Amino acid sequence: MNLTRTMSRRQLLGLATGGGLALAAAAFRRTDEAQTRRARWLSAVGQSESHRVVGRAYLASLPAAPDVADLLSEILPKDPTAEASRLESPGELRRYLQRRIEDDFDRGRIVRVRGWVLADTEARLAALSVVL
Amino acid sequence: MFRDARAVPDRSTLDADICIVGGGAAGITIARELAGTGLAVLLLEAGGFEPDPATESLNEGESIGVKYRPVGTSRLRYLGGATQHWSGWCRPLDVIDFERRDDVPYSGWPFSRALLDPFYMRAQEICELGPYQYDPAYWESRGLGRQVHLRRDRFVSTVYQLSPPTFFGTAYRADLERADGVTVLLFANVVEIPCAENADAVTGLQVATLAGNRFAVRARQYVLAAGGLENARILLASRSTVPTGLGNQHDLVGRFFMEHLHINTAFFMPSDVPHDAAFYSRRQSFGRFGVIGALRLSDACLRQERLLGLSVFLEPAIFRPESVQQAQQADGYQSLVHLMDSVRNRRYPQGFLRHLWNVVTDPAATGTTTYWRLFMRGDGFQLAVRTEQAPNPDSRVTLSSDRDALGVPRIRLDWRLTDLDIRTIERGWELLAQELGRAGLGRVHMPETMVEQPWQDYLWGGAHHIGTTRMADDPRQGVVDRDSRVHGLANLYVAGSSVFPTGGFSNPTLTIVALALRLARHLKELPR
Repeated sequence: MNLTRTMSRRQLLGLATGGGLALAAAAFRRTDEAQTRRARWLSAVGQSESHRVVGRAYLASLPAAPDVADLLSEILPKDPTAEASRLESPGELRRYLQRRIEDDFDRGRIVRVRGWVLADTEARLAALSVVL
Repeated sequence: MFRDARAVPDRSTLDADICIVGGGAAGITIARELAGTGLAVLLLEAGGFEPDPATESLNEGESIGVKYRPVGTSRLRYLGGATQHWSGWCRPLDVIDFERRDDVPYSGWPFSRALLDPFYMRAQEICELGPYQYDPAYWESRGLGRQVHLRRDRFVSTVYQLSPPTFFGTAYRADLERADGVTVLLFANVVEIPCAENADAVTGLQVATLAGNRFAVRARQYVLAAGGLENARILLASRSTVPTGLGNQHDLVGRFFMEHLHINTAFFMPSDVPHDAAFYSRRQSFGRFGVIGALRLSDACLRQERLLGLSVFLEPAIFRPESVQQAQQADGYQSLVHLMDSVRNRRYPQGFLRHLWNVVTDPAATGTTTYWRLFMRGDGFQLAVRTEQAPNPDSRVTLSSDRDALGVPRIRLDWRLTDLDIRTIERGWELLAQELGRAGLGRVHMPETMVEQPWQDYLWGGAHHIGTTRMADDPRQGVVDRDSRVHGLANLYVAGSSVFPTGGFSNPTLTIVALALRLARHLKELPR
């Protein structure tokens, strides 16, 4: 899969500048209250084609394919139960992920996916859209 | 007053108080400064008022190091020198450029930026620029655009000023014509600088013209201002008394050749949130001069990350996927370009049938690239990165066994890159990607193919020839002292970017002119 060949500007921006997060937030909002908290997080990932394109390229760059738990462990708060209780609304979830992406860039937790420099969280969110 | 060296009698001797070799930015500035001081100034210019192929061929040489533009084409051998084709970009060196940095071997000047500030101020006028003002806030308040504020320990904004550009040979020709005490001798090529037997002073200059006459010039003081490559060449070629060349007792002449690295291959795709990128991407005109903003690695970042100076501005562009880049290299597209150029220039295309066949049989390449050119519009920016090079004694100018029409050995340039040069670019890109991402401004693409191909295929020098007669207080560290006088020689000075011990990332002309003003003052103050 050649990311630069198949990924349009809009797709990248959808992933990179909040469109993906908006999608995630929307998915979160639609989640059935009966679902477990974990399932709610999983549905918050987003399912756009841009996510899958980036996600596939990111996964291909890893030495071993991670499972959902591996990917989530780096995205979720270390104490998901306590933290998640504060992330009940889509807006809060969106802000949490946005902060996390900014923090990734700030601390140099970045990955290069087909040349694009992305926050680690962005790439993992995209990978989740493939493995879920 | 202008004279033609071809009319000077063979084997004669001309006398002057001060003889300047080279009529470029430095030489012209010094001559103008010395006009009317009572000194008899002789300026030797190798060419005339216009470029001439025979004279320009004297500049030719060979390049054996990193791929470089032809050695001859980056210079001009007529009145005005390289300023006759410069683009006018000006910026003083930064304060840190003058400092000794522990992580940059051989870095630092013998004096601080503050010493040059008054000369920079005057150099601004000579280069027809605005006020000596490089504070981005100043230009922001005058409509340049809005700065972005990134982490100050990583990137800060800065500006370049853009000269009209001033073609020194054209702009100051009339000045030189009427300058009191100044004679400009055209078509005069210095072929050797003889010195006293104990090599402590220059005794005269040997001058030749392509017309065949040769003569001597005798002066009290001599200033070599022939350009960053030619200064070293003339010193190295002056071997009649000292076999290793003049001023070369410590094998430093020609070493430490540096450039400003240019590389545009990284791409910035802004976010959908509208941002005003004009500050960094658009030349704003302020009458005759212009201003454009840039981001640069902050001093704190240089120290913390152990990097060299780097600036980046934005060039509107479209992102070209690698498939398009490859298609543009294909024969089909290249042939299409050739045919289109011929049509545009209204001439019958050479190899018409062959090129037509290439186009027809390569529809993928021609289709892809044509679609891209016709329908894609700028959606982002190339990151136009300009960086400093680390001083490196192995990057050097020596003499070739080949000689020019006047018998002077030609230049052999061995330009080298260091690991620090490359790391500065790579890390600079990465830090910029982090900062732009953190600020929510967009994402950066760094070309993957650079892992597989040599870096030198992607970067080029700005034809800024720096460091070959570097300045240092210690004769074992530099060719000239803090006054630009060649160590060990009482009456020979060097002007131009060849004396820069470190070159920062700023284009060199403004500093060349500032240093020339300072040297002119020094010459005026010498006892008569």
